[in-house]
Amino acid sequence: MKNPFRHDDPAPTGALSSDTHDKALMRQVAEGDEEALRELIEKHQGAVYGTITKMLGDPAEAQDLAQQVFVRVYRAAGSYRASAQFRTWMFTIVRNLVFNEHRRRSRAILLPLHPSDPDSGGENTLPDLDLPDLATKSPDQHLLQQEMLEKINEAILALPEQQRLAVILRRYDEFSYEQIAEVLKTSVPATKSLLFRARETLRIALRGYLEVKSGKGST
Amino acid sequence: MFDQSMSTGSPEHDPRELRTEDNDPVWRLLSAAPRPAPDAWFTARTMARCRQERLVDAGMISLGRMWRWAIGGGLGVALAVVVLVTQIHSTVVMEPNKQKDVQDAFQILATVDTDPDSSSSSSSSSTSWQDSSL
Repeated sequence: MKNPFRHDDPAPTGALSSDTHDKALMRQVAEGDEEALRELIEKHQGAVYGTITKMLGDPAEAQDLAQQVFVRVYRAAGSYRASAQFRTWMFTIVRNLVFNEHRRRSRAILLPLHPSDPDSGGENTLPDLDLPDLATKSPDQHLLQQEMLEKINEAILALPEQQRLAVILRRYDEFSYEQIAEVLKTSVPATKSLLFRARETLRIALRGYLEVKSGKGST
Repeated sequence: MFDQSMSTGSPEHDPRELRTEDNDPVWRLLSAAPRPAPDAWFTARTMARCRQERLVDAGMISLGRMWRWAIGGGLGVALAVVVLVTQIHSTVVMEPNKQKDVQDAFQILATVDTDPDSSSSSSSSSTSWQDSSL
């Protein structure tokens, strides 16, 4: 059964053959083959862009970082040594860029776009940056679905970056524990612990939706 | 339900762990928020950016070559100047010695001319001496 998350990547013929094909493409990229680079980008852009968007929550920033990932892959083609799986090596680049972006954001001083309301009694109120959608009118069910989607994304974004990346790689990119450990530069038991803690945190954050789902699905 | 790749028994995927996670309602709930996909122009923009990086790299390489040529050329010019100065200096130092030889020659000549007995033979020999010395 095809993975519902992989709606843009081609169906894999097998993990090993896919990796062999990736390595062959990298060799061609090192020789200056632009078509090989294009094929590489088209094959992995969904996973790379999707993972970074899930990690940062900002599609515009994710697009820039995703491009940087492929630029780095391109620049390293000449010195790339096929000692590890290509996908694992590429997601190590994703990890480095995303974590650097996190550190940069944590150092940045965030200024509100809107001045605080003088009538609020001196309290610091967060500005409401959500713009109303004037283009379309959604039915209630769609709105509830959208709300649930936002809550899930918020819960993922609220995870510590190591747990967040582990969850995304495991759930959406179907990485094995060994592959995740290699990307995160940690051990397999530590990876399993990260995933366990992340799932427990998500279970608490999304318990409202879990109860609704269990209520609907009970037999 | 497993993907084709999972059912091949690849060592990279542990079916037991995947089944456990797939039975987890939290794990299933995450399927409601799938990964967003990039737009249709992502590949084209990324390719353009890679080409731009390649041009920048080529520019840096040619700049590096220019610097090497500049440094090499400068060193070569400096070496040539040093050699020239050394040669000029050694020429200036040799001049007084040459002058001294000429003066010695004239002194010898003067002593030879003052002797009356050997005037005829000395004149021809002095002439030949002059010719050879100068």
